[in-house]
Amino acid sequence: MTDRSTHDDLEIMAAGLALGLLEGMERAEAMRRQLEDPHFANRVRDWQEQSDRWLEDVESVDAPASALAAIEHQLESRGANTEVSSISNDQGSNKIWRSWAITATAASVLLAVGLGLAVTSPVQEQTGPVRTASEQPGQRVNVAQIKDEAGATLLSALYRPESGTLSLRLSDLQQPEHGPELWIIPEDGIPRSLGLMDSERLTVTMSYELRSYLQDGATMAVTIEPRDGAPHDAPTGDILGAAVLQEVPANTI
Amino acid sequence: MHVCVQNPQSPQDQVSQTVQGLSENEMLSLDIGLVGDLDREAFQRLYARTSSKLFAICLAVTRDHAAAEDVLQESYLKIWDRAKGYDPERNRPLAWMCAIARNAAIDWYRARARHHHVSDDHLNLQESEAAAADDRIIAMNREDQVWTAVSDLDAESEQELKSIFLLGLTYPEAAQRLGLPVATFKSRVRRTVIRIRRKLADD
Repeated sequence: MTDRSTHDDLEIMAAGLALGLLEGMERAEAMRRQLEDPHFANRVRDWQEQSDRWLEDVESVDAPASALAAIEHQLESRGANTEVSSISNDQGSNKIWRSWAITATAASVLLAVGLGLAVTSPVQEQTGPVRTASEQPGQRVNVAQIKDEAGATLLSALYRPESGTLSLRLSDLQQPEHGPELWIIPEDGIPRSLGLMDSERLTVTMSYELRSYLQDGATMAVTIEPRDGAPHDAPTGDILGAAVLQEVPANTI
Repeated sequence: MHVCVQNPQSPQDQVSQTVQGLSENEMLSLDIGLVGDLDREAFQRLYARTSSKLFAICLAVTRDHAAAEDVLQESYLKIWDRAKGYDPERNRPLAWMCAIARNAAIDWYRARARHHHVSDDHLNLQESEAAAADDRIIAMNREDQVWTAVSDLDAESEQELKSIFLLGLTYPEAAQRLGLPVATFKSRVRRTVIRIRRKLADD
């Protein structure tokens, strides 16, 4: 009876997260569980696939005849063939990052390929298990989740200020000579690298400098960067997505 | 279905030769890949195969024909921009495109709600938006042509869940728009989710 109830509760939570029904503490708890429980993460993925089918099964309605010509006209007038930004190291790039920071609550972009795991400095990989025990009263944690266009999670992050540890769960984003680099963008709009990630799951201890940036409301973002020279001073690759760090009471998750 | 090619040496011709025997999903994936390389003919093929589906989604969310056309255009521009990053291992091609259209339509609706009530306080904004969204849900439930697929799964509550997902509403937002206590609405969703899950497990 209890098992059935628990099983159903988790099913409802997984569906709620995948379908976007959850908010606030409920969403934070579901994200935390998705980060730490592969079985639950699979349930979420099942519901995301189900909602994909709902979209695919919508009955067609003919688009206006003029639409394609209008789209092609816009492509012509844009001149440049892609809006995907190549971000330079100059100050101008901060505008782009500020823009991402503003819109980061929306999900992100689709992406590429991949696999593996490893974090280079400035973060140091932690060998111990992710701490899941209940926190002290009054402690806070921060969560963020970056999604792709189809709603699938690219990256889930759980940051514990008390210990300075950042737990990450990452989709396959690896390429032979490039990998996903994680950035934190505080209020000044200047991205700081948290390192190149080569693993799908890891927990790292942040440097004290980086901890100062990991505040409620800061934006986390992922780009694809060359493996050589990481961590980089500034992003150069495509922005795959961004999300705002949200502070929640630790004892609720 | 595929393009008549005049130059047998062109990349499009190679594509034309290889699409024989491919599934619809495989052809869509192939064309998205070509769009990622800025192939306009592939983009036209992609549009021809998918625009009626994406337009249906835009129309279902906006409930406004002119707005739906605007959102459709925006969606295909995003598809053009993002095609290079598409990964067929992670997403089915049509689902990926539909999600772009849904997100663009939801963004349009929320932006319009903010614009139309810019001088109102937050509470009034929510009430106005709630009423409009409620109308949309009711209208969608009446218009079977928008959601006829999966009709074997008993309709109303599942239809409601699909509509709420399509509109991007959370539990509290959806409950408010339907005029229900959040707990009541959650119980309804719970029954629907479990029923869907069990049916899928039986299939």
